[in-house]
Amino acid sequence: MVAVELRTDSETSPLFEATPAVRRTEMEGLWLVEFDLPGEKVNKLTTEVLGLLDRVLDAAEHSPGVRGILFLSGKEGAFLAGADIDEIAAIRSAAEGAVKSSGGQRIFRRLESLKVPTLAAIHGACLGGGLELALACRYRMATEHPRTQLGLPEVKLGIIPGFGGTQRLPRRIGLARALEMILSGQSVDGPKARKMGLVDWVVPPERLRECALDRMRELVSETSPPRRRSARSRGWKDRFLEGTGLGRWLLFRAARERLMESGGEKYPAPLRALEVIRKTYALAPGAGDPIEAEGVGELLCSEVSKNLIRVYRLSERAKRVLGLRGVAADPRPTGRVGVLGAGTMGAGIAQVLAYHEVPVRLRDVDTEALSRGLGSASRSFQEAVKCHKMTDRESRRKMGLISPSTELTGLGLCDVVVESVVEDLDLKKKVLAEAESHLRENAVLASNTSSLSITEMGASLRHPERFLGIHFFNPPHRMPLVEIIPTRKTDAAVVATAVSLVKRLGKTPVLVEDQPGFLVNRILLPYLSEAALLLEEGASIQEIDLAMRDFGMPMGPLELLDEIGIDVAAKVAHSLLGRLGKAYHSPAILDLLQSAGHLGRKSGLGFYRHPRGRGRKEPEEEGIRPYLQEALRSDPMVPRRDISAREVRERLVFLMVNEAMSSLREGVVSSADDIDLALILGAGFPAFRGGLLQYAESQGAAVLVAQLEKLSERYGPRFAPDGLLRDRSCRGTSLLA
Amino acid sequence: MEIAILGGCRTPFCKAGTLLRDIPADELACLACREAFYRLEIDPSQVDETIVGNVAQPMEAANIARVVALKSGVPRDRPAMTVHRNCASGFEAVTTAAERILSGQAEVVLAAGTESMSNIPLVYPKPFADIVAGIQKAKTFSKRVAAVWRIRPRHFKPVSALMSGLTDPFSGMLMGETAELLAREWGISRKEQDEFALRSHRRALEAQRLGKFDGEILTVFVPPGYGDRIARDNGPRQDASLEGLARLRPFFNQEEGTVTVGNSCPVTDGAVALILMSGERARRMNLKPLGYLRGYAYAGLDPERMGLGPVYATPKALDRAGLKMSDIGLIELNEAFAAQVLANLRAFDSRPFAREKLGRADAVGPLEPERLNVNGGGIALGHPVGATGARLVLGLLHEMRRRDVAFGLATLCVGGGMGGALVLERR
Repeated sequence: MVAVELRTDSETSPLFEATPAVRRTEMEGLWLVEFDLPGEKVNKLTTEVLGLLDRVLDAAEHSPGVRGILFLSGKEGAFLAGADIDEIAAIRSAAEGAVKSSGGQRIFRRLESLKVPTLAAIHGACLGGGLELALACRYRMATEHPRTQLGLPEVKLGIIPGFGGTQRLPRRIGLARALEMILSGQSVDGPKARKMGLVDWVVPPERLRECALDRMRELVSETSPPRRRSARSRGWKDRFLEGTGLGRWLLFRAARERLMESGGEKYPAPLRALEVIRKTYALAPGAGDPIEAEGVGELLCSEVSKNLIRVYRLSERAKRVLGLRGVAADPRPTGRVGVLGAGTMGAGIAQVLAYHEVPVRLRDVDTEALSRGLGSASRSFQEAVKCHKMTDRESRRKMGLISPSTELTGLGLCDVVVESVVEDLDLKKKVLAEAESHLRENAVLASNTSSLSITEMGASLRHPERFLGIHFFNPPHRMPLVEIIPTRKTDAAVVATAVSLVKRLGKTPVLVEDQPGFLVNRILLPYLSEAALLLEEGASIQEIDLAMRDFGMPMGPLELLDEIGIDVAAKVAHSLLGRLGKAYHSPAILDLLQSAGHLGRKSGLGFYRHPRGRGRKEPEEEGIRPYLQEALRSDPMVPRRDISAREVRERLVFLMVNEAMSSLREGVVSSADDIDLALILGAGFPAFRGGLLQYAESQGAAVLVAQLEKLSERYGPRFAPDGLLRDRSCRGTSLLA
Repeated sequence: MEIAILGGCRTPFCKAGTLLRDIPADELACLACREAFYRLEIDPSQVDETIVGNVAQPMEAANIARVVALKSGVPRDRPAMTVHRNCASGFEAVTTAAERILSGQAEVVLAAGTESMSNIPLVYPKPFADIVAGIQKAKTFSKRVAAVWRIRPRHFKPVSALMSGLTDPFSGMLMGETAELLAREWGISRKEQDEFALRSHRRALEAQRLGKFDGEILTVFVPPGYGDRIARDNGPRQDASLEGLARLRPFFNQEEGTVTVGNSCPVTDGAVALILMSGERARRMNLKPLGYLRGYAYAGLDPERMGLGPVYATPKALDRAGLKMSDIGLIELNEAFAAQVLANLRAFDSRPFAREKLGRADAVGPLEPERLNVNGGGIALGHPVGATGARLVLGLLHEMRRRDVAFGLATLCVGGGMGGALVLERR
């Protein structure tokens, strides 16, 4: 065996000597090319790695002795995770982006046209550029391990595959499936990849290297012909849709319609990917490359891509959050959790815990509530079974992890106990005190309150140091954000435990100070109540909701109020808005609708009429008019008819920005980044805008201050620009700093 | 060494085909085991071994004990085994656990018994199974047709695994027929049997009314909707009466028989979990066990007279415990059939029987009604065969605590011709 190390001249440190990023060894005329980026857990296709690969190919073309090339990863559980995000983010112009893209395209075309067999042996993430490299090989072998994921996730970062992915994937697995993968950015595992013809063989992870070598030997031997598993058989439908001009036209049109429905022009990358594939699918191999490169270049320096990359980095960073600022502490175990209260939130939390294999003691004084809670948890599991996320057997087993009881027995076995009874301070205090007397010494006690003070609840406990807030959002199995609220007295280890539990549940934790409404609700509630005030003033339901949906919110504020429940919203508005210490007030319309029994979706009627079963909900413009007139008697709004979509958007979004700046000034969170990520994950703020404060920054602090001052003159001091915002505006510093 | 029975809990017992019918035996046992861990606040990671008694051994849960242990959160590195001694399988779980502890192989054992008689399958007759195997093996079309051709209508008549299980494989007698034999030999009238059955229902209802079972029963929320809740045994009948019982036709011998479904135990679903540990471990953990296992014995007898098992096993167990019948304050004797219990009543008190059959000079001792099955028994509560033994232990210990009794006896008869007896002690 001869080892030939390749490295660029700039790398001279001993570390790089020991582990070159691309290693080549020779064996029986086969070249084993191994990717192993020094100092990283995963492999990335950096410019340097691409350069090294180019040199390997160069050498291969000039070595008559080479009989085949096998590509492998030197990393545990990761093949090639794609291009380097930092490099992508550093690109400044469309031309620069296009050059980078065509550089990669050229190298992969070179790989594709080698005369000898090439095989990519894939275990772990094989994403973006990684999959594009694999597609340029003649054969692909993947492991059956669930960690093996093949995909082209570029659209999630606002760009499109740039190293020939839009060219090779449709030709490899067919147009329909390729569009599905590229436009959604979703990845597939090994067995699925084989079914769709993306890989040729699937093997157990332990035997990947051995199998790949065996297969290479077969491939290069002249006696036995290569046994490629035939790619998926194409049915008559595929043949029509992909093989005829009419079929392709239909396919592209349907895909475009789907994209316009979901994100539309706000997310240009999938549309561009579709366009590139449409233009190039029928061209000769290689002829489409410049079109792909052009698309990559233009998207790379778009605002949306910069924003999506920012959000991606924020969420990657949040995964590394460990606990209280600056204090390192070891988390305690989270093997068994008690949940007190089997209402919507309690049952939802129990379900999420059981889903992630954590046994739960679910306690409620009311057996009827336990029945309802278990029923709703079971329905969530049934949903997962229906979308083939788990088998029925698994869902039954996991459901069994929830042990209901009306007694407090068993809390002594729990590592963490989360209280989620009704939002009533005295009741919560009583339940927490009861629970505390059953806890074992090291256990963590938490409250899932959304509006009450954690510090106040902790004050009456014997051990406030093990108490904190863990705030899930509704519905827990869907919402990816969890606010963690330590008090001044909470132990660092307790915070670390909460963080580790939240991560175990696959959710993103954000550490928040104990201030009214914590972070997300504090910003969201003024927004919701302002929407109700706009309605009282004369804007229609549709105008308000459409304005915000156009802005990018997944649903309008009035729709959201219907989902939350108008009674719940009114209650929180009363208790929270007052405590925020500004001139906010709870809109009268909420109370009026509540007392009329219009509670939103749960009662079938709110701002919208919600049909039972399927059907679309319809705005209840006429139906609420009497209530609006009534509301004007107590709310000082002057009715008018000329409220523009722009005004709606500015009043709602700028109010959120202003509140976000207040919470930043008060130190509710430690950075603007936390606010941006939390609102994207917890309130559905559109990711393509890069976050609330990123959006504010793009508008400019000075503009915001000026607009808010105008609004405050006209509508009252709730719009008065926050001190921090003024300060940043005067000094001209970034809002994101 | 002392064997401490820390405590436990059980599902309600429900007649087969009723409320618990959709919950398989392993899930029933899991419900009981998990709840036992929570109520006793014993972390499953303390358990060294799991032993589960089960008779009908469901095919989808081979070695059901292992399935139950894993699903209940017992760590994967702790072994689990299923035990089968017919109606004494629940006893066997307890006594095997005790032996593990005595021999030093384990300190903490999860011992359970479970049975879902609703889920005992119907099976196809063997000739049909052979034909199906032939069809699967046939390599050519014509051979396949030939195999299919051999199927006859009679092949579709299923065999009830439940009825086969309730038939003594040695003598070919149904369990009920062995009870008829005892009724004949000991001169037990139909009326006496019906009166005993009525007593069982009355006592069970009274115990339910006083909430005596609440401490041992957990509430089952019935999947998949979880809207139905079961918190009590559904066997005891408010409307039971002598006239009603007298109207029933004898089930096993319709002409001159005396054993009816009314004076026999019903086919039942249910599970019980107990946690056992060495006395020393209990002291170290500062726990207060519900009671201790003082001695136990199994004995064999004619399969045709299996119902008399208790009178054979009890004196052996008492001898091992170093006690006499008069030391025993409370007795749980499983009611498989009223005739069988009544035969035991006579045999326990019979000197000739003791001399002839047991080789003892004196009668074992009387079973007075005031200390026998004071909260009713299997006729009212049901008899999920794999679980009953453990229920007798759990119920007896709770009642011993209520009455502050020092020694108790749990005994039952075993299909195939055996008896089992456990002597329990409270301190």
